[in-house]
Amino acid sequence: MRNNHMKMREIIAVLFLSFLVPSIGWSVDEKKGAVADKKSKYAPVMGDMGYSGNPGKQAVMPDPTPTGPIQYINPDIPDFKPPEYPGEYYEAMVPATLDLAERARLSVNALTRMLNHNSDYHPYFLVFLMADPPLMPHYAMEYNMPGIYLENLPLVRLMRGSKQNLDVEHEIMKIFLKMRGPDGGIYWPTTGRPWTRRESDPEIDQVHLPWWHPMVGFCIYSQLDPSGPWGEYAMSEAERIKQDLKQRLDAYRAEPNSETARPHLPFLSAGPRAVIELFHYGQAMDDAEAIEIARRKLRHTLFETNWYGDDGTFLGDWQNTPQGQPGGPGSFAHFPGRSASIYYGLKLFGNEDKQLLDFAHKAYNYAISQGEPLTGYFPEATFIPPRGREALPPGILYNGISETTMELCGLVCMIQMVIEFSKLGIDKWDLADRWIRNQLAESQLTQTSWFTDGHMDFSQCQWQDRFTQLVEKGWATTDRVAERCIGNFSGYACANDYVGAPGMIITNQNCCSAAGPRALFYAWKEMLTYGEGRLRVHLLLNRASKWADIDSHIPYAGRVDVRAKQDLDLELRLPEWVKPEESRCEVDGRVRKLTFDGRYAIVGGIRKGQTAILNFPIVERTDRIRVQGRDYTIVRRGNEVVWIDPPGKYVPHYQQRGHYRKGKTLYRKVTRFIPEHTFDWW
Amino acid sequence: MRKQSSAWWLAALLLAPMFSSASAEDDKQESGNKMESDTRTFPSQDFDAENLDVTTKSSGVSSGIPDPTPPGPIQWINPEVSDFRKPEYPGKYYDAMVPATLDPAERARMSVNALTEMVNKSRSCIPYMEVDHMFDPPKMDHTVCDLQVYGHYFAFLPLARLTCGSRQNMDVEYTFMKTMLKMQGEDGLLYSPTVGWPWVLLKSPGVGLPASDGQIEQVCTLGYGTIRALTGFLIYAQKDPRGPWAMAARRLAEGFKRSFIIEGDNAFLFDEWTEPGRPIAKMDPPLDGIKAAAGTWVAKALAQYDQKYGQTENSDLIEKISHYAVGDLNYFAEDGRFLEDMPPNGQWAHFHTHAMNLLAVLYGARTTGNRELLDKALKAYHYAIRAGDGLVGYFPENVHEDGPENWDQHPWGFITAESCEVGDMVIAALTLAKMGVDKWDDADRWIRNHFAEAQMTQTHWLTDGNLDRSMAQPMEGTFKGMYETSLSQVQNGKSTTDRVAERSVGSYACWATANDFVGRPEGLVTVANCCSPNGARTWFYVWRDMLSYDNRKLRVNLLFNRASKWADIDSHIPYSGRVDVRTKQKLDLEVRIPQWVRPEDVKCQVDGEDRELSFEGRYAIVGAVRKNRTVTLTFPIFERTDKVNIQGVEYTLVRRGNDVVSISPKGKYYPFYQRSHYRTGETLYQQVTRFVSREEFDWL
Repeated sequence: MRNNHMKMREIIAVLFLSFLVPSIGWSVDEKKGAVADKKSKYAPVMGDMGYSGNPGKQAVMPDPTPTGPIQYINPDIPDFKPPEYPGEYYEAMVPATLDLAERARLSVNALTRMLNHNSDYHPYFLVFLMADPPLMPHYAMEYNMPGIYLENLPLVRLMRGSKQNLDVEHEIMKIFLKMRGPDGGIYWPTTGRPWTRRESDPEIDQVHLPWWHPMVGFCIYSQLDPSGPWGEYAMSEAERIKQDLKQRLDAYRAEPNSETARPHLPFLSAGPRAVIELFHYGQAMDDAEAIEIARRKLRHTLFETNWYGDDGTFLGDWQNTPQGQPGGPGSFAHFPGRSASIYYGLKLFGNEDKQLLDFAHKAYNYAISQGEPLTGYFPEATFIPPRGREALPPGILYNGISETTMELCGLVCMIQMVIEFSKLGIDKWDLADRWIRNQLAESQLTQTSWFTDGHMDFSQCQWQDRFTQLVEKGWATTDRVAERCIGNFSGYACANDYVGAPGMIITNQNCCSAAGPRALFYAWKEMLTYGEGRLRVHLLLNRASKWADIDSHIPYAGRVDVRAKQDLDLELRLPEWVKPEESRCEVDGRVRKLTFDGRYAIVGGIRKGQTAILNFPIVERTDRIRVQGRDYTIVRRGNEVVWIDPPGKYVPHYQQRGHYRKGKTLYRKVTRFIPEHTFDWW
Repeated sequence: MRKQSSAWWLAALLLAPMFSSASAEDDKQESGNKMESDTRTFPSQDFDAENLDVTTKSSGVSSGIPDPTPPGPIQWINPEVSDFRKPEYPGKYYDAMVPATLDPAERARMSVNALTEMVNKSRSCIPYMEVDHMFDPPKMDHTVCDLQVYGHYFAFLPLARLTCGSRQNMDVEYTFMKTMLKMQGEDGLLYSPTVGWPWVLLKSPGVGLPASDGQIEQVCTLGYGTIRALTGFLIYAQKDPRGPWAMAARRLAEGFKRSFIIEGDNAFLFDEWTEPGRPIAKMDPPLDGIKAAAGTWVAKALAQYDQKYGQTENSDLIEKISHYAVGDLNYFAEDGRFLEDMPPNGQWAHFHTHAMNLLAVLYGARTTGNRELLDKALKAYHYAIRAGDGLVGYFPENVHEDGPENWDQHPWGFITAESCEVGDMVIAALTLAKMGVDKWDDADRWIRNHFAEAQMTQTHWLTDGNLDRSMAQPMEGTFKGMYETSLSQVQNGKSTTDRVAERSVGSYACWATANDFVGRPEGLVTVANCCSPNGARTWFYVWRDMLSYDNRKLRVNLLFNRASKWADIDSHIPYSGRVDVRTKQKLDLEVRIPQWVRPEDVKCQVDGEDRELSFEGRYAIVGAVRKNRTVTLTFPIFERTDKVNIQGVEYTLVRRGNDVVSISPKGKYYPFYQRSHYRTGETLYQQVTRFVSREEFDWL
């Protein structure tokens, strides 16, 4: 194991030296640090990759350059307006508590930098932060990534108004136009980028992508730039999906095992992509047919595919264990896909379909039973028979290791699910609050010191041959990987560490880095609701809005300040750990008597410019939890974990929270942003 | 088990009873002694020993036991004192949002809480010597040492107030002042009454008290808290020149001076204690070890006395006391090694007492200009660092006479750190630096790390339900007697369990390890209240000496937050390598750059405009700056990992600048270094009330 690791270090070192050879015909745009001249001759993959950095500095493996022209199916595209996110910016000093907008700012960093600027901003799917030095390789599955990135990047821009790398976003938008085939479908070019060629189809130059479109991005862009190509693009793509789904669903109804019906099955494991795309399109463009087809497809997924048992259990489909058979004992059920379908069931049917709602409840309860509800840990896969909360039995491997970790995508779906339940009147806000504050927040990389302080123990890392080959071919970069990853989300976390499987070397699958923003956005969007002059605050987190700004002192203190920007009636939901009778309210320093509606404290009318301050006691308590066969002791302050024992070893969770326990609010300077556009359809 | 295994403070409190099998049972067997248990049991007002709440706490002791009330009046030697002005701390207060980095003034504010709350307000605000956070419920106990640390509280509380301007519990301070005057005998010395407060002379005393209580009704410890009080009198003499303080100081100084035996170049106290009217005569043999070393502390106070009044009246005596400390007393080897303490500490050298001797000798060297004293002090200083850990400022309570590598011979397996000596070492580094021997980085490392962490800054570790007290009720072995003694303290009405957690915020650990405030859970005791006032004293010196101003030149020696009349300092370290200096008057500015910064990497701007720097040693010379300008110095900050071995435990430290931001293994009870928020590099801010005192105490 150690030898493999040493071997990789040697390979990387050799590559460093090879990159010192001066390149010919390449220039570096110093401002962007990107290769600017894309019309130069294409460099070979190995050896002479055009490294033109400062030889006085430590050499790095730069982002791989194409081996030839990238031949898009539609290279000539019309001009369109670069992306803009208009809104109001202002500076503020706010409590240094969880601030989803600030987390969104970090996500913008990750989504605009974890891609290859030498190769048309081609995202990296995997990140090896446990490599020394950290490394991002290109990997065949990456054709899925641009769509997922562009689907979620606009969401996090809307939250915080970050303008970081808007030019990168512009380039990705162009690329989607270039990939649009004459039939309206998206075709991914593999020419010039050998790492994208699939072993199963090595000769295909244009890979058709039936799903993985940034439909949300298209809909947002169409709203931001109505004169641009995005509305039409989204519509034609939606029509294609509708026709395709109708055909398959009709075929399934006629003959479930027909060839026409079967091809949709592989996509189940990656989640209900078609449903997601149609649903959001239907909502954004008010297309009832799209919604209806999405509903049909989802009912099919939930009730006709053996993905779930009648009692809501997740049935197995994962085949990477020798003992496992799809759907049967010994196999694994991929958690994110299962939970996403439940979430979209709630979105599509709400309270209209009692059968579906009952089923969603059962599946939700099963999902909870497989995870850890105090912190929001949900395993990437559940082993059949269910062993989600226990260690795998001896001899059972998952992803080549003897334990399952958490894929953030699953948590994202669970957060969306409990918020959706709450919107339907089944109050699960506290679960959302716990999971957002804990496992979601900790799964995001917020700083790089862990990788540079010298404490990292690489002794467990084991390189797999398939990854060694990627590096040997030069299909990887070590260029400022850690800082480019700030804002990404762990793909393999455990309960106490961002690095849950050090033996794998891989730390991130960047579907998670793109999914994390979805949870951030949904929580940010739904934490406030406003209607008919009434503002309801469901989650007590920092937030700017056009109605009021929320400053949350939780967990330093049980205190929330609401500064009204217009006259409104205010209601705040008290978390589960607060006794309503212990809460006190002042409006501009004057005591305001509270009444209660369930857990909502009714403050009543406050005028523009007034500040309502809600105070209540906050306490710490200790819980013993068991996750993946391991016992942990956690101390929570409010819902926030402020201590975990045993602590993590690599990028340990909950280590940046000691300051909360002193009870004195610290503050940070932030730029707040109120977007001009809202996207209620999302 | 050897008796001489620990420091005198705790030996007096804990070890001696333990080694002599003291327990509640023993107390009962002392009938016939005038202080038999029934007469010195002080039931608290609402405390019913027969009906202890046995259901809620594992010890069977209920929470909320109020402060004990003595059964009769305490008979002070000088009960009638004339009126004097109540204490005031004139200065300017203003609110500010400053980087949430180490702020000596904010720490001093916590010290004010500790020093004015860990006292018995039922009677003369006498301190509780020990706090047992590991007892369930946490309790504070009166012990034999209460009145011996009264001088610490009296002297160092005003220093903490000067630093932060806190007005918390001003009435307690007023009581301290009255009580000190009530304790002053006709000979000028300070006497602790035993009538009405009988446990002052419990059996098995440590250092500074007679071996037998006999019929003594007033007893004076020569050294320790008594001599600390001289500093307190001098402080109040400056604050209130018309008050009784200058005279009290003069009389106390004279009382001490009369207690010294002078032989040639040496001067030493005739004994470790006295009572009114006791003849002063050389003992045969004279005191040795730790008992004699307490006398050296007098030299430091006398040096302050001379410094305050700009005189040299005591310099001859100071030099002789210092000379004795590093010579014939046999307390330090030639190479600076700490020599044995003799009974009761045996072959172990008590670090705090040695460090106080080191400090006194430094003061002596500074006062007299005696280079030999300085050399000896420097050797001891360097040995002290070797005996501890110079990266974090961990200094063990005891060091084996043959060297620190023999720590494993300690009967308790390893040696914890008493905060007293950590503070001493910080002050020694500051003092040396001010004398021109640049030890600013030593001070910086120790202040930011072990010293800052050893102060209790929050209570939640006691209430979050995570505290493992399984070790704290030993049913066998070394600490069984200690637990029983602790229980008997409650039963004998010497304890309170009233809001102990919040009252002890700002206190200092007495038995810390390198990673935990609680180093000996089985010992119950976590705070000995010699440490808490010594911690307050240290914050004052840190706050004062981080800036020096002379002839329009302001030097910033340590990069902490601080308000001053010359400029306000906002330090972003360790979030980032940045310090802002906002001037309040025209001045020439020099800023010392820490050792982890390369001078050539430092950039400077004045109100946003680049300013070229020159360097003098590690000082960045900014040059002239006009009033109301902001000077911003920036430099790279980075993290690195060190492996250290402290008392047999291998620790991995991650330091950002000089701040430890991660330690592995982590502490278990009240773990140190919960600071990872610094590592994001984004400065967080805190709202503070800044205070700029109108008073200065350069002579301290």
